[in-house]
Amino acid sequence: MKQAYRHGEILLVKIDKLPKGLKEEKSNVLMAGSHANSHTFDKGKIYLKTDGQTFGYLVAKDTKLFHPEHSPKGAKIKDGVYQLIKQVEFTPDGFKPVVD
Amino acid sequence: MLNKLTKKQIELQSVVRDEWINLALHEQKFDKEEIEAGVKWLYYASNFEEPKVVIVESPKDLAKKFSASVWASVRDSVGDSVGDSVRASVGDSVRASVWASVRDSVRASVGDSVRASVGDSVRASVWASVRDSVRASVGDSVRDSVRDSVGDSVGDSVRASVWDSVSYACLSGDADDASWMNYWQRIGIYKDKDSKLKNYLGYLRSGAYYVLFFEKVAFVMIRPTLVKQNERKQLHSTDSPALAWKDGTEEYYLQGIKFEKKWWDKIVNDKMSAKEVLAIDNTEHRRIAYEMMDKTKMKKLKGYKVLDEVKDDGYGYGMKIISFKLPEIGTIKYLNCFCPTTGREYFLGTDEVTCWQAKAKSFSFNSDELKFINEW
Repeated sequence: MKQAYRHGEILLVKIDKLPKGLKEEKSNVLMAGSHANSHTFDKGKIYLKTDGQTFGYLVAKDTKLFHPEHSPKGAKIKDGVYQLIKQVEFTPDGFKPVVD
Repeated sequence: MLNKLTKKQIELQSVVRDEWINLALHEQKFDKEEIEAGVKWLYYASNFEEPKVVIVESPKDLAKKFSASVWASVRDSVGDSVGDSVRASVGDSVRASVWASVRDSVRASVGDSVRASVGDSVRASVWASVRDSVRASVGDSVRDSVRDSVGDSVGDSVRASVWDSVSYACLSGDADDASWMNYWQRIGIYKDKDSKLKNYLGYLRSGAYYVLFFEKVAFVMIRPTLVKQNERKQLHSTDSPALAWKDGTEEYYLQGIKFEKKWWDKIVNDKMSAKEVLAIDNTEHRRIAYEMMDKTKMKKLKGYKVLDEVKDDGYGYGMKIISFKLPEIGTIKYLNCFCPTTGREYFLGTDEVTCWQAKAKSFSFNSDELKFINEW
């Protein structure tokens, strides 16, 4: 079983190691939300790469996740490497990313 | 060193707090000459040359004037250089030069605990809802305005640049710190020998609500004419716009979420069927529309059934799979679930028949492949 955290419409799945060939982004934004609410983090490194529902990877070290509604004071996650997956929903036209 | 506040000094905290919340959200005063003088003083105090001051009346007005001014001067250098050209912002330097000396002088006095009583309350009222919403609205307006003349990618780039260039040196950005510092000044802790604080607070009081400071031009948006919030300090109104601006721009919000007027009108007047509510593509809009809908409408959905029910999702909330039939489509299913942090109720489209599988599948896993350590 894979260990995971859910932060709103983002799933962070713990993986063994970072895939090769990724470039670190100079950003603290996991995902920019509409309605002025973004998912952000501190003390970690983010690598963005879209592949299906996966939109990137987070290397966490003393990392907290922030969101004005889900965790305004920060949500602590265990150190490690995480695959970032965006939630989808089923519609009559197929699966579509959850839009908030 | 002040170690204890008197009863009178403690009572003054709520007075100062309320004054600044009122200034930032409800006061109508706006003085163009005072604003211009204040901006020029800020630049002077920060060792920048006097800028051209452009007063704007709304996010749309800012987008229009920004496009005509800054964007016109850089539009030939599209691509990567756009960001650099537009981002030549001086906002942070300006603010830092004012605050540094004031803050250092008072911070060592009674400690940060007082800040929680004054500044944090102002921040909660102004920042989280109004300022962030205005910021998003400005960014979107600027992007849309620029997008007419260039491609999407450049539009997004300019939006990001404008987003980054917003200075905190304005009423929507600094009302919290201003209230805190004003408090220290009023109880005699900060003497303000160089009048920096007096000048800065005067500038904020003049109504400079939201600003973009560049080297040669300063855009100053004046305060909104209307701000309505709910008890959680979110922009919210069920009987009028929640935000309105001097140029007639109106913005409609429910629980901090922005809606087009036609959707807002349908939702607050409960004019939508359950089928229409569940078909809204934005999950936050769908959630709010559902919350405000007469729930008996759900039972009127043709073939409405609860296929699966979980009493406790691990956070004290239930989950359900509901289904109903649409003549033109067939059976539609939704996972009805709750946010463990906010307790908000959501409906997510699914093709599964059990709650746990529907939840896992929304992240492209099966339920036996995932173990949730924690959720927020």
